[in-house]
Amino acid sequence: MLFLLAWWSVRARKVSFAGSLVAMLCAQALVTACGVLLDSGHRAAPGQGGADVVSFVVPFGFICLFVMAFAISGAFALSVQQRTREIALLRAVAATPGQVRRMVAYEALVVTVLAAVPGCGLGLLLAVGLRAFLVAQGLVPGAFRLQFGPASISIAVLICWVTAEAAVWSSGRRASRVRAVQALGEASVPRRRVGAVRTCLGLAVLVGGVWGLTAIRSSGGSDAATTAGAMVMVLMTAVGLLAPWIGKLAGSVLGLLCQLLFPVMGLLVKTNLTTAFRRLGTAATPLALTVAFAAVALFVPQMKWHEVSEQDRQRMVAERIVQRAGDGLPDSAAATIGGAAGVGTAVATTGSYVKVVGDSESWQSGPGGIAQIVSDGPLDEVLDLGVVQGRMGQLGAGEVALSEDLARRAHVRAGDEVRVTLEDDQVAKARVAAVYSRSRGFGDAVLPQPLAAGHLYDRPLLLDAVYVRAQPGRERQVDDSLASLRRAEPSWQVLDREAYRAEALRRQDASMTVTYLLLGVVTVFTSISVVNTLVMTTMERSGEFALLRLVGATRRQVARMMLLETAVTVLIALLVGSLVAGAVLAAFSQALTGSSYPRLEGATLALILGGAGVLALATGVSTTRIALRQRPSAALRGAE
Amino acid sequence: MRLDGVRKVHGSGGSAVTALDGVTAQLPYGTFTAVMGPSGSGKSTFLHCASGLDRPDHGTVEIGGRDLGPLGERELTVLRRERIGFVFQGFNLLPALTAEQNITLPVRLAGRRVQLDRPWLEELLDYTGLADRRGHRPAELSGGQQQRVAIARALITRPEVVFADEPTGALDTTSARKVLELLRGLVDDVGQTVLMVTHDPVAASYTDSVLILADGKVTEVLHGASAGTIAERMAGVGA
Repeated sequence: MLFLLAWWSVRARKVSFAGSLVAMLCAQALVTACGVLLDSGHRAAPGQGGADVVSFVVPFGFICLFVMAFAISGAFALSVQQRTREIALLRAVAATPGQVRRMVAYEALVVTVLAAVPGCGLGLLLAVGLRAFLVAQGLVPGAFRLQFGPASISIAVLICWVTAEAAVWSSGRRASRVRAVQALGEASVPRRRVGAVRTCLGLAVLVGGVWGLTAIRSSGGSDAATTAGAMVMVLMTAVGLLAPWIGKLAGSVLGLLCQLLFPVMGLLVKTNLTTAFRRLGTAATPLALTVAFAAVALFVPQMKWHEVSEQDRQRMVAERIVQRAGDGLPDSAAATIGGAAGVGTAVATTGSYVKVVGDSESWQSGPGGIAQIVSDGPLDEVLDLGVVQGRMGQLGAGEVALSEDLARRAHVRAGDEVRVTLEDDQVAKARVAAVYSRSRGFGDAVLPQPLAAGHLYDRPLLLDAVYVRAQPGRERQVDDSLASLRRAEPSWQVLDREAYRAEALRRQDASMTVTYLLLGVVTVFTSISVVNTLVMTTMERSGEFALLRLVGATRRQVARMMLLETAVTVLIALLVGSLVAGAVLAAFSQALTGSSYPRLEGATLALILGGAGVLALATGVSTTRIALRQRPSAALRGAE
Repeated sequence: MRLDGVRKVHGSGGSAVTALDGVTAQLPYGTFTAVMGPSGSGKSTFLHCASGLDRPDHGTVEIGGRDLGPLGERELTVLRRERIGFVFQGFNLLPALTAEQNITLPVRLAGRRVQLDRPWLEELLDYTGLADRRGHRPAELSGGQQQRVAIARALITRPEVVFADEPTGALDTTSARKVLELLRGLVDDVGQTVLMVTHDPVAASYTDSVLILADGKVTEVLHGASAGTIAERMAGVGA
């Protein structure tokens, strides 16, 4: 029965559930796509890039779910708020509080079920598209195939449903607390206060978020980028929970300002903002989320790349770099190049990874990072890693160098003995010869070839790059000899520093496309939420507009009043969003560069704030126009 | 149904308002009673307390011999669902549901505890003259029709008492008369107990007895009075 009631109410209120439905549809499409890719990733043979897909898909899926939960919880909160009298009537007539709560839960189920079939269909198409995209970007080998069972799809739908239920939980709770007497129009109902549970929960999450930020701040920065995204979610959850308070505070301050600036409609705006502070908070939250997410998603990689290229520039002592596209240079290339006429030093590096483990018990979980396996030769003559402890000359067979960050996380200093596991998970003992600072874009450990060569996982040792430095005064001779080497091996690339930097820039752009993809998805989601919220909050007031016009306000005055209110909403949202993003970025910057002032590009900032503002204002203005198109008398009758 | 020494205070401290001040009243079975009084006399609070929508601060309320005092929110709802019918002034129906769905709502919400009595539903639809409007949504019905749907809904569970809060307040004279005749007919034909809150002496003249409230107290009880008499007495208490 309750399911039927929920079904009827969803069907009869298409507009107010449209937003939830679209958000759910997007979420199901994305989560299904993620589920399919995840399943395929697990089934993929090693070497087909399954692990890469999984590591890309998991955070992506989580963000989608989070944003969906936000959109749906906002839409449901509004729909319950608008139906207060209806719910009160239900309570008066026959429904127990539990039944009302279940009805809201069933409404979320109805939305899930309605979105399931098209959502999964779109999800499969999206999975195909994403695979093609990842392959085209070179993030995943072409051998990666989509292979999945029905379980992955049903689990995706189930996860969406559970998330939606969690998101509407507080709406259901509020609905069940509506008192039956509220159905009787004239009965005076005491003004509802902001729930204590909600406030406490919001403050607790906020404290958790701030604690998380201090953790980012003191972390070395290698994981800080992923944590930054998570911190936005935590902080925005707190904002969502504390939205009524934000609305209350901002509404009274900005309302007063409106009244001072615009004496006629300003008074109305002020009273609207202060009495409907809840609506103000609810309307501002999704926009704030858009701003915070967009800022963090765009600035974190930008800051990271800036730091990487900065450190790259400081590191580079070598005059020429030899690379080969694809697998890499053969093992012998280092010696070949080193022996060429005029070459003073030639050191090769190969990317790998390493974990520092304390004792034999906990060998699986230790701090780790990217490692560079270096060939024999004085590394410090081609790369200046910024050694802070010990000495980085030629590493002996039993010696390693660690980044400051890794050394700190592993609690070791130069001169200490460490146990490290390499690609094959075998433990090797080594002495820390040096600790260095310029690790961004390079790696957290330097391993000598004799130590690492035997521990590679199922592959021969190939070289990623050979760094070359000429003997003093013989630079030209080096160029000639490298050019002749290249004639013999046409696939080798010989880069000077400028070309090397250009190459790095190209890689940076490629990695940013994934960021843009993620950002695009999140923006679509949050925009749905922004538009839906504004449409709902404006449309519900068509009766109020009609009344205003009947008592003598012109259409233009009402439109101006709404413009002012929307502007206040936008202002609050931009402020809150910037605050959240600013806090996260400051912490991230501290972790990355040691400075709390994040380096932000003005153009990007203007784009985010301007885009969000224009979207919200345009929605608000056009919805008001639609709401005002009705004849006031008709609108008043409809509102009853 | 009976109220005994019911007292209810709204708010607290300086802004406290005593809405009911020791009201005792009794509604015999099969009678039509009106509660009247000027604004702020406690009419609505009387109805809320008598129907279990609100709890009195002091005193007891009994419906069909059952004390409402110790019942929890859930039990009160079940009691309202099965033994009480409501008709409000306006906004009586869920806009998303058709007339018939609105009428059967209390039965559907009761789940398996109560079976829908189909013949009774048909009888109610006939009786209220809604048989051909059953598939319409509230927005497609006139005000009078909406009130008749509300009355049919109030009766679907064969309740012991029907509470009506200004049921004709938002209606024109003709529609109001139809609704009042319907309520009167229910009392005469099936012996339904009805309590109606109203400020309209004409509406009150359809009832068997009229309780006049002033300042939270029952000041007078009239039996079988005409609209003229009722209006006169109401003027006496300042309405």
